[in-house]
Amino acid sequence: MTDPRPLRPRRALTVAALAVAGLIVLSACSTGTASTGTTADAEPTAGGTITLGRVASVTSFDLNNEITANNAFAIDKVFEPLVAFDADGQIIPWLASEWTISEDGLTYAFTLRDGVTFSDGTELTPADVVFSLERHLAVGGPLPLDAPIGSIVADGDAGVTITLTEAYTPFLAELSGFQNGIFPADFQGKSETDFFADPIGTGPFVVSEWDPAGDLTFAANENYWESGQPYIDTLVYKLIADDTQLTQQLKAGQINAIDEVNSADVESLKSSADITVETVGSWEIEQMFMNTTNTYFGDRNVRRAIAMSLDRDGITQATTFGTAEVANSLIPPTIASSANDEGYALDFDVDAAKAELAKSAYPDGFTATLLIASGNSLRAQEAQIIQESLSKIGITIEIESIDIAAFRARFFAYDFDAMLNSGQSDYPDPDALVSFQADPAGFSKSYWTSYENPDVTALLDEGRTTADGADRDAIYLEIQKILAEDVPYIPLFYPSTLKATSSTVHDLTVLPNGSIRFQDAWISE
Amino acid sequence: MSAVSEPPVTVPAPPAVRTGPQTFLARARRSPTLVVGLAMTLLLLLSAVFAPWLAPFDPSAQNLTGGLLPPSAEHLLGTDQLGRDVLSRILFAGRTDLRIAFLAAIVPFVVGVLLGLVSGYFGGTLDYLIGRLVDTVIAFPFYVIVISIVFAVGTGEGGIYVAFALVGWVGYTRVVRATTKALRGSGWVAAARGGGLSHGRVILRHLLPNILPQAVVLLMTEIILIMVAVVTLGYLGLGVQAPTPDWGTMIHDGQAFITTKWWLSALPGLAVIYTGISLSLVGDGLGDAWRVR
Repeated sequence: MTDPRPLRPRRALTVAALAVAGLIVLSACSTGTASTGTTADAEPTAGGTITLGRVASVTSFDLNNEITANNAFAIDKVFEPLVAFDADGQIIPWLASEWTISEDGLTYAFTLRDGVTFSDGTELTPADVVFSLERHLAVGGPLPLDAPIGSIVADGDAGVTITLTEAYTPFLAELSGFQNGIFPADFQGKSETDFFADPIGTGPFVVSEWDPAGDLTFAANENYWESGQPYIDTLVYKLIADDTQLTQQLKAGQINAIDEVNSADVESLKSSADITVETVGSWEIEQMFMNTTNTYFGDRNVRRAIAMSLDRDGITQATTFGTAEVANSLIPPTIASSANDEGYALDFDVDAAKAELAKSAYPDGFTATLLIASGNSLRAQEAQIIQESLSKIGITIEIESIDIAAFRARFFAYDFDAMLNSGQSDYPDPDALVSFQADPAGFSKSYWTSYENPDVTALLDEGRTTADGADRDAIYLEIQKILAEDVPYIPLFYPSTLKATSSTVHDLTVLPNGSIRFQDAWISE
Repeated sequence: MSAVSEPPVTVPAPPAVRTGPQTFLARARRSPTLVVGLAMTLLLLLSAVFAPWLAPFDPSAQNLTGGLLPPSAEHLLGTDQLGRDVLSRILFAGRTDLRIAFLAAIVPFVVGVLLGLVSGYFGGTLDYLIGRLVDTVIAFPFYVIVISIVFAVGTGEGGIYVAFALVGWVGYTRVVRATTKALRGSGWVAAARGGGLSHGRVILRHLLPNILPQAVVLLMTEIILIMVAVVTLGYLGLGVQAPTPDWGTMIHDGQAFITTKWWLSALPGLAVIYTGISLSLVGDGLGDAWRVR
């Protein structure tokens, strides 16, 4: 018998040649018929699965007790609030189709949307709204209802009236947060634990399979109030802990959307015909946080010296590749009353930084740890820049990079010297960020920095009751000025919300809080 | 006289006996493997030792607006994301990685060889106990046990030394024990003992010199293994910590740009391969020269 092997290369070549010829023909065809996948106004088709890669798993659906994005952006698929915000951050009707606010700003009368049912088919009633909001008031939680609520009363078949004890300007914005979603009264007779293990809400999706340390599969809510929606049958949150892996898997077609795009990959992803990148201004602020209970970081001069030694422009350019904007204030320009253009931030000036450190109790510098979560290459690079920058003024920084779950546990326990993290407004009002990051009595004690300044606290209270307008703007500008001078944290840049999908995925609504609305989304082919 | 023309007689060559060079040095000089290996290793060591003079830039000096530059006359191998000179970083990283690999190899070498000698020489219960300890350590996959130890001790250089001190000795112990066991039955060992020498002296002066070549050849392999492990730990973020440059972290940091700036990962990767080849050649060459099986 002749050895068949020598023939193989030639056969392979023939096959390859045919394949190339076929591709040329195919591409010629597709250029002829053009852009089936990218037409914006194409008719949505029903069915299919969107698999979204995410770096952290969903650990809980108890909306009143959660805060981190990994849970928030799953909770908002199941539970919906009375009002919501759109992609531009404007408040829009949601479970409440309309509302009236009394002249004194104390009484809010909501009318519930017609025909809304929970995913199990039971009708949404005012009693559910009263129960949900009262439970949140009772729980408090990391994102409490700060509004001075006097009473929440069911009013007929479709009305809910909320009375405040004093005017509270951010009230509607606050209600639009995921943490104020509505669930069935009395948890349908179940215990809280049982209910949140298998949650029932009015949202477009229901939980079908859930591993709190792994993936989460949602099924479309058959009873969703917007008829015909959601278009897709299944939404999968796939846990992929490394951001490089996320991109690779998207490119390989193993998943068709990713929650977090490494900014270094944006250019290469955009140049790929199979991938679409969505860039939206966000409510997020990348920051370096300093624990003011730490010996060194408790010293205001030390914190100021650190702020002056950081080249925020350079950091932004080197780590975000033009996808982010340099931050000069806590409140980003996507939210009202931003001080980004006011010039309050301490400028980069190494000599001034040295002079400032000389005024502190530690003129010769010190050694401290900068805590970061591993698996985030952006923060790893930022940390190296900070380390190098601070070495120039005599501060030695050791970078401690730990698993994200351990990282959360550490800063939740106030156990860090300094850390890199991002702040995120949960609703479109300046009060949200200021309350979360500067209220020593709040859940996080000024974003776990334990920063306290009575002037800020007084202004913060004033801002809540002052009606929208120039006076209110002035209050928040003043707060941001004080924060820029006290520097409990250094806003570095405002990242864009970056989501990438395969080009067969259409009509995702990317929200400025970083979440995605999937009810309009559909898959072609 | 027979003037008969005889067919020319070809004198048969003497039977091929092994007439190769008889001394270690003579064999070493004729081994291209060893010569090339040593030359490559020498170059490597020189570049590491003289990195501060060879490197055109400070390896941690950043230039935030000059990041990700391709190779050019100013930066021969380009710059990384933070604008640091890649050539300087590769040179300094070699210094770090080689220093750690050589230092981390010492303790396991000494401990492993001694335990192997003792175990093979005395036999009995001691041999049994050491044997079971070796089996236990070997039962764990290498990286699983190293990473666990690094987690327990803490990332960085200290963790690496402890991890390899705890797991690296088993290879030597196994090999040295087997050879020692075979040698201890030899007449010269019995003669040495009969001549009144102590166990310690027999082990150190008579057995050790005989097993040492084998252990040294193994040492070369182990250094490569440790170097690769140091790089792997660096890649995983558990090894050398910033700002100290290390090939593993460089490969990791370059990974984000693998499709557009492939050299950021490929060059430190090549440095690892070069080191591995150099030391392997030295190990092989030494084995040949010493006639270690």
